[in-house]
This record gives sequence, structure tokens and C-alpha cells, in this order.
Amino acid sequence: MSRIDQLNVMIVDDNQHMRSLVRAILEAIGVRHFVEARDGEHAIEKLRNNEVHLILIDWNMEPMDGLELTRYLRQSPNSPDPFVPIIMLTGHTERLKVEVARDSGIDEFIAKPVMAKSLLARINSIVTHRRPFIKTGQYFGPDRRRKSMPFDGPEKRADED
Amino acid sequence: MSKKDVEIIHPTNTIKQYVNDPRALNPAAVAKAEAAMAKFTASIDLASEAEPALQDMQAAYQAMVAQPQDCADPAKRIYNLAHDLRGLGASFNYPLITRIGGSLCRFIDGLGQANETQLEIVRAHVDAIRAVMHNQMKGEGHAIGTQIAEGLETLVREER
Repeated sequence: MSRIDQLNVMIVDDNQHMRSLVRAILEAIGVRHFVEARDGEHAIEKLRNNEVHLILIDWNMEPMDGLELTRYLRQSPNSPDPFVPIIMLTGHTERLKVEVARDSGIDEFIAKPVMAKSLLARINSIVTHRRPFIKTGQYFGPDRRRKSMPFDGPEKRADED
Repeated sequence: MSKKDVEIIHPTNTIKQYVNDPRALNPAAVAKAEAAMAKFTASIDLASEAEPALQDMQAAYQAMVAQPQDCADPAKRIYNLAHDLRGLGASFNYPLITRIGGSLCRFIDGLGQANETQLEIVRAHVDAIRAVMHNQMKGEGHAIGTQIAEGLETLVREER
């Protein structure tokens, strides 16, 4: 039995219409629970009182933008969930900016305009092929390589010490 | 970096526990979501909704004119507003807003001081965005609007 009606999705965008647009797409597939925030700081405040299973983040926001929020969620000792799936939706499409977003620790990237098909495809990608997380001195987040390659270092589950 | 400095962690895929019915994301669901999206975008009149952003942009432009030698903050404000409008234009059927907003973003990104020509180029973009909104130039096929956008893009290529 589908439990999508129990999924809790956070939408972080400084524009109310963009939040409503994303919400309309997700409501059409049965999502019923949303937490909305207008910028990164607002999102952190709301995350203190809400457990969310997926976060959709805009890039350009003030005072705290989507990159800063992603870095906080992935790296801060106070992060409510360093492993929460993050999809960034943005008008930035320049290669350099896409790489900056990737390096902040997002799972997926969508260039605006937001299309229902691409948003649902990115969610499907996380559901079916969630990438493992990589922890190095400089980076913590989903594996930035899409290809599966052999690795002989230590591997562990998130709930292991 | 040696491999022992790299740790691989397999997080619990919590979202999978909720999106556990493949029908939630199949083509029928996509079609339903696209219909909901179309219905929502048709219900929004971007021209009136964007008025506060246009006023904000005009005020930031006036701040640039007042202090052209140190205008990084208002320029950044205009960049953010133009970037926002660019995204909204694409989603709410105003491709000219996306195009002119994109041109303005390219021009003003990182501008810390502005000469008269640069201020004129910013003003021309702000005026063009306002004209497109006020004349509700939705969709494609606006010959004059397209010419203006092309002219602005040429200016940006030459002056930036």
C-alpha cells in the first residue's frame, strides 16, 4: 500500500509562486505533507520542529541561500539530518555553478523552468538509486561520481559507529 | 589523498519507505502532475504578481544611480530580482522575461561600480522587463519584444 501521503517534503524558495508550483506538482502524485520556508535560516528554524524526508531548495535566497543551507545540513554538527535527500532547483545552468552546487552536497540538480517530468524523474532517481555518501577531509555528501567503480576502503552503514 | 582518508557510507533510504508504489512516479502520474502544473500556472497573473519585484528593482536602480562608484549592493539586489524573474518567466509563460532577465543577470553579475553607459544598459533592461509585464506579452511571437531582447543581448555582449 502506498505511503506517499505520509511523505513530508520541505520546499525552500523565496518566491511563494514557485513554492506553490512545486507543491501543485507533488500534490498531484499524492503528497499531502509540506513544510515551506522562504530562505535557508527559515528552513533551519522549521527543521527543528519537523522531520522531513526530502528537501527541494532554490539557490538564490536572502539572507541564507540554498548552497549555504545545503552545506549546513551536510556538515554542521547541529544538522537535524546530514543524510536528508536534497534536490536543488535553480535558474543557474552554467557548468561552473552546477559543479559548485554538486560540491555543496546536493543529491540532484534541476534547471528552471521546473517541469513535472524532470522533478519526478529526480525523485525517482533518489528512490531507486540513492548514491552512497562520501566523507573526505573536504567533502561530505552523495558520491559525485555517477559511475559505479570499485573501492577498497572502509564502508559502513549510516547507523554504524 | 589515500583511500583510508575516504569513507563510504550507505545511508538508510528513508524516502523509499514512503514512495513504495511504482505507480506514484509512472507516466500516468507525470501526466497528472503536468496537468496540475498547467492549471496552477494559468491561474497566476505574473504581470500583477511581479509588480513589487519591479518596484524593488526600480528602487535598486535609483540607488545605483545615486552612488555609481560603489553600487555592489544594489547591483546584487537587481541580480537577485532578475534571476528570480527569469525563473518565474519560464514557469509562467513569459519567455521574454526569462530572456531579458537572463541578459540583465549576465550584465550585472559582480558589478561593483558603473559608468554612465553601464547605468543606461541596466535601465534599458529594467524598462524592458516592465514593458513586457505591463503589456502582458505572454508566450512567443512578440516581434517588437524579441527585437528589444536581441538588442539588449547585443549590448551586453559588447559592453560586458
